Amino acid sequence: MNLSEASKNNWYFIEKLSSQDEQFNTRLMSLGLIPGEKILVKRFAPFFKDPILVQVDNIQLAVSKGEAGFIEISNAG
Amino acid sequence: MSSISLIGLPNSGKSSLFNWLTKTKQRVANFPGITVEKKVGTLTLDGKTLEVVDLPGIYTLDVSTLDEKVTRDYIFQKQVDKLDSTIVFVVDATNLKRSLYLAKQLQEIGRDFIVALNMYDISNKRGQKLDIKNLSDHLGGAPVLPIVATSGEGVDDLLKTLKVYKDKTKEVHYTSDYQKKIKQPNYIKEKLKEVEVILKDVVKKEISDDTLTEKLDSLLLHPVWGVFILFIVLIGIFQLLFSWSDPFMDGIESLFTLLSRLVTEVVPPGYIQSLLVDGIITGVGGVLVFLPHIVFLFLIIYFLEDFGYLGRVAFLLDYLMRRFGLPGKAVVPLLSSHACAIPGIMSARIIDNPFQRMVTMMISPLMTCSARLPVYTLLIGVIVPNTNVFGFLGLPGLVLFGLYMFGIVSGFGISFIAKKAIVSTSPSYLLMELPPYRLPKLGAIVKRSLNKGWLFIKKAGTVILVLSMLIWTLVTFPAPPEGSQTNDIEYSYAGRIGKTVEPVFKPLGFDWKITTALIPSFGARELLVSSLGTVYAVGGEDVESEGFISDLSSILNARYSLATLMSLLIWFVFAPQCIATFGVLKKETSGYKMPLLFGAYTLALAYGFSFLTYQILS
Repeated sequence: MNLSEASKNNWYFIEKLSSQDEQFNTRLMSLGLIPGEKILVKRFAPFFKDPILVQVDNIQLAVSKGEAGFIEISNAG
Repeated sequence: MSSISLIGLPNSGKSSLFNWLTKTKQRVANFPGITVEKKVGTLTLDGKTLEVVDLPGIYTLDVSTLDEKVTRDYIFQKQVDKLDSTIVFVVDATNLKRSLYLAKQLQEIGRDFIVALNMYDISNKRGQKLDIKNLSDHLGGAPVLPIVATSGEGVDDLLKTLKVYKDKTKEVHYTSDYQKKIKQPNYIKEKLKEVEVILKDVVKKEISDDTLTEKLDSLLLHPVWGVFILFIVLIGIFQLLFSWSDPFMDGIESLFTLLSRLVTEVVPPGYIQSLLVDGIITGVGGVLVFLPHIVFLFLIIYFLEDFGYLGRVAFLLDYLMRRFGLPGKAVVPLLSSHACAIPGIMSARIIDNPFQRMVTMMISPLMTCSARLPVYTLLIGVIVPNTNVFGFLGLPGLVLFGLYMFGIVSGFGISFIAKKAIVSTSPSYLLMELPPYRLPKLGAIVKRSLNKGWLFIKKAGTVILVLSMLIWTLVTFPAPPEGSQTNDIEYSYAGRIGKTVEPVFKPLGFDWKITTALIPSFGARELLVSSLGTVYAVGGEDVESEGFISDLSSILNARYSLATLMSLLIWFVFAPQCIATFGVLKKETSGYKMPLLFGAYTLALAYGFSFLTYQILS
């Protein structure tokens, strides 16, 4: 599954960054969205649940839904 | 050491420290050749004047945006000729992990730095215990100084350290090999492991959750309440902008009226008097009158930014605004532009994406600013009968509302077209950190807002003054010969230009009197009313008096068709105005390209829509 399908208040592991755009992937990594890291989906924005707010380390990151589709995740319980 | 470069992650508090170090001695320039803002100030240390540069925030040396490249090049000494610029690395103590990644990279390339461990107070409050000695050891003995950049705590110790600091950096070069290396996932994982090792040694007690941010977010980002509060906040910004600015603007206007009267009494009538009163005093007043709006808008924006709310605005509105190619934050400049486009354009700086910022600046003047109101009121009064629709809605009010909507719809429409037509090189997705809420320091905010106002006078004032002098020259010279029956303005260059361009504006229904009156309105839209009065030689000194407006209204009513007046009304929705807008666009984009493009596109729109209006109605 990917981040755009995640549900609120769940923990996930980042599995893979699947965008073809290398620049974009490094951007995600520089913000802490690195394969292997654990993230918490905190909330969704009011309109069409886009963007998504996730917590990684101690930081809250807003990611738009389209881009969240490139972040592959798995359940971390 | 000849200079100090402040680097750090976004939101680490670099700018606050910069403000503490440089006080009022700062200026904003652009880096050579690119439109990245460069904040430079000076600091006197041991009688030596040092340049302090506040560099754009970066997360890693593997940079992607233009702003970040500037910082990287500074670190690698591409932009500074000497190697003696000392790096002060501002680290957010509540978020060590992220900064340590960059710190390890600096260490790896052999670049020395001093660590300013910022937000030390919050770190303590949230129960975090750090071993600073260990941190310094892990970072190759780099001095680590706990500070609180917002209050200035610890800054003195930082200065003491800077005085004795010896930077041992040898030459560092950015090679393509290194660039490739730091992109590798394995490299990143390796570095993160090193960071974990440091953290284990440094963090003696983990930081507790930021419960305040948690609680505030569950309200302010709530799908229903969050949107409701945002709505209230936006209305509040607009209301405050007007209610705070109005007395000051009235004051400035009265002061300049008084000054004009004084000069009129002292200086005998003639060109000198006219130059002083209508040229210089009016011109300077025309620049200063924008100050209250600018200062108060930035006061509000800086408050919301430091508090952490601006990022939340972006989050809440991102979906809606992105349909039109705009970021959520663009709502602030666009809303403010309904008071005046000048502070609106200036506040577009809160938008990080350069293309989106440019589009926002270009469409801001299409929002109905308060200077259009006198023009709209006059024309609506002539065209629209004062009747009610559905028994209770006043038709004039409805038309005015329609004009507001027309401005908004046009602006968003243009942004939409720009998004579709122009392939922007900067990414348009949202990927943004929402910082924790913090209580803003009022003193610092006031200082920064006043600084904004001052920068406006310095950078945009000259352009505005020169252009308003030009307009004064056009309407004053040449004077009609003695005993001539011709109206002064008709005989002047303005009148001649008006007559010359009349054929061009005939398809819009404008005669030379309207085109002549449009020239002074270029200085400020509301001047259309008084200059129409001048062209038609309507008596009475006070433009705002009942008699003046009703006299002018009946002349317009008798002289022009509905089609012409509607066309003129539509002209003012788009018209390339005013000179202050050009001045501020020039200041914000550091060049003449954008103001000229703005002039061209609004002129085309104004002409096109007025043409259609006139042709359809007549």
